[in-house]
Amino acid sequence: MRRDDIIDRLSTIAGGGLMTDETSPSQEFFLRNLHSMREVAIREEFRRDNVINESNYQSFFPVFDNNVNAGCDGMYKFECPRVLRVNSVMSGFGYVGSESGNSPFLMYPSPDAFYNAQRHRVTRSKDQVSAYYDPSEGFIYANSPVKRFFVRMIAERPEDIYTFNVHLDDYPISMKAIEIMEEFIRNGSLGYILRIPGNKVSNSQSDKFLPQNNE
Amino acid sequence: MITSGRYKTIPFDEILASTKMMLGIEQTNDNDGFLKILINEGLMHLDNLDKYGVFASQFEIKDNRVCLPNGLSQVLGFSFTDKDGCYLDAYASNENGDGRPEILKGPVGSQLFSQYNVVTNNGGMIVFDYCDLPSNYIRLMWKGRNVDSFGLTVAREEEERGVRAYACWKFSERFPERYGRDLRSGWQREWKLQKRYLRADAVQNSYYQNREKIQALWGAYVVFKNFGVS
Repeated sequence: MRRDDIIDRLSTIAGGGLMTDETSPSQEFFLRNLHSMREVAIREEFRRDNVINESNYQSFFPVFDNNVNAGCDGMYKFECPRVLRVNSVMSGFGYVGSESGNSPFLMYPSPDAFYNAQRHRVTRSKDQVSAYYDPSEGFIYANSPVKRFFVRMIAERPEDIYTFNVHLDDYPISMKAIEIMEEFIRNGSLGYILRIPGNKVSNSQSDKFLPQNNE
Repeated sequence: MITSGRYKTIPFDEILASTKMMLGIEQTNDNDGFLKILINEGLMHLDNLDKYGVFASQFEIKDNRVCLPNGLSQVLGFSFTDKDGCYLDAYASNENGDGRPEILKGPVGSQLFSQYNVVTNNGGMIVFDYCDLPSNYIRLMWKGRNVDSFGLTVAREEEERGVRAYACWKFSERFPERYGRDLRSGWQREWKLQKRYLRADAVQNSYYQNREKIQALWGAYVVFKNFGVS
């Protein structure tokens, strides 16, 4: 299901989204709330199923960029959009590793976890590519200048990933997560986020208060 | 008892993969580092006879020191060699004159060759106490754990189940909110039972392998020993 279809479906649920006057929420309002609802729904889906649905993932290939890495010493950085953290055990990163898909990097959930792991003899090995993601700067840091690698992740904003075409591709969310969103809207947990309450005010009701056109 | 997994070793990542499947975290590699540490720890603590072997390899002497290999438990001996690994002439003919290379061995500080020390700093090293070494290379024979090129303990196929249970148990202690108490205690029990089985199995196999030697020793000591006649 594409993004606009999802927004239409969710905003009109439970009698919402019916506009009888000119007021209409902006597209940014819908997008912002869709992203935050998606985050809640994916976490809830994982809590129920104990497995992340494959539809939530997106893939792309970070490439080594000399301009980004100018002045880097020891750690090499690759641009990466913000990742959605699923729970305490799993981050939103699925596979991060070689393009063949056979040799994953040793990923660490935070910079601090990486620095701590470098103190242990087992995880200190330079033969194994180790990496971490720093959300404050939006980079994956690796301890090896890899030319190109493969990332499969759940992004906070799916539009940030360059392989995603909003108009052609299905939005990276499972049908089950959409149903969870609907459920939350119906029972009121997330009703205030995306559903637009129906506006039954007549279009001409307040016309007398409008300033006259003084051109 | 016939055990099929004894003579086949498996890569380290194989246990890692099955542990992640068991824990239900195969969709991420966030915790691979922690699991690797746990698996290596479990393999070390199996501590049975099968994990040990006798090895020999050439090492370079730098600054009068030789870094010891990973997993070493006992230095059996060493001999000075040239760069290509051939034994030095001066050391190839000992006082017996049989042309065999002389192996310097014995406990540290023995009469035979007392001018070196084995210290455990920084992964362990041999320190020579004098400067005019005959060569910059030695061939070292040691007894130790069977390790791979990364210094991690090599696992055998039949050890996978026990070590996986150990890693699952320790990992679930780290994240108790995700894994219940019954799961944790189940994995702990599986690890204990598997460790017991593997140790017993290793002892049994060791007896089968060295049965003739043990019989000969007992025969020499008990059966044919004549007191008063040396």
